[in-house]
Amino acid sequence: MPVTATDVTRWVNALSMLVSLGVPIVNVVMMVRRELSGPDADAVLRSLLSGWAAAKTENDARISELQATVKT
Amino acid sequence: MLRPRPSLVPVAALVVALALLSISCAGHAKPVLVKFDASVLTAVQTIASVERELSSVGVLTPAQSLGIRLKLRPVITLGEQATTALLAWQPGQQTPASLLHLSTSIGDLLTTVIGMLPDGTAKARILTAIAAAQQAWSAVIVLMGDV
Repeated sequence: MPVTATDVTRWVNALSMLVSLGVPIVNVVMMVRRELSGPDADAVLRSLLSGWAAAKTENDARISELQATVKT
Repeated sequence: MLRPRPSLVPVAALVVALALLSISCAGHAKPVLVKFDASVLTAVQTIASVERELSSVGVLTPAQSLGIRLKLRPVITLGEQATTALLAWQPGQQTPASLLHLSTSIGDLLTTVIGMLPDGTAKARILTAIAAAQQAWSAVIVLMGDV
């Protein structure tokens, strides 16, 4: 979704409030980045992590099964 | 409604500008790395699936199947490590080392697995999946050149 001039004005006003309340600039920048970048990439990564864990479980089970077959 | 102090407005505007600038980089970099990670997982899943299929019809012996599965193990471990590293990764940081190792290991896996499989549809499926991973890796290399 494109960021409009109105959005930026609202952000500037909100951030001015935060800075005037004594919130460190670094924390404010991090908060804005977190809010604007969205969770998409990290949500996909969490899904991938589950996929890798499932692949590991399946592969380990298959290795055990094949090792038992090869031994007999 | 509370109105901000005028002297703080330029500071806040600068914060917004810096955040937007960094977001434009973040919006480009992370999805490229994530796409590579996803393509390697797909390749691993394809190899696992093909191994089961060929084993069930007797094209692969249990020893050959075991050989393929043992080769998959370090790639899966690296895939988990790379994904965990990517979750913590921020634009501007170096590409996680585990992601670089994952690229090398998928190349090694290709050489090993392809050498063990007979020509046919199953082999073509694996080649297609690994080609997609290599294509995604090319995008990562371009990205690393930009960073």
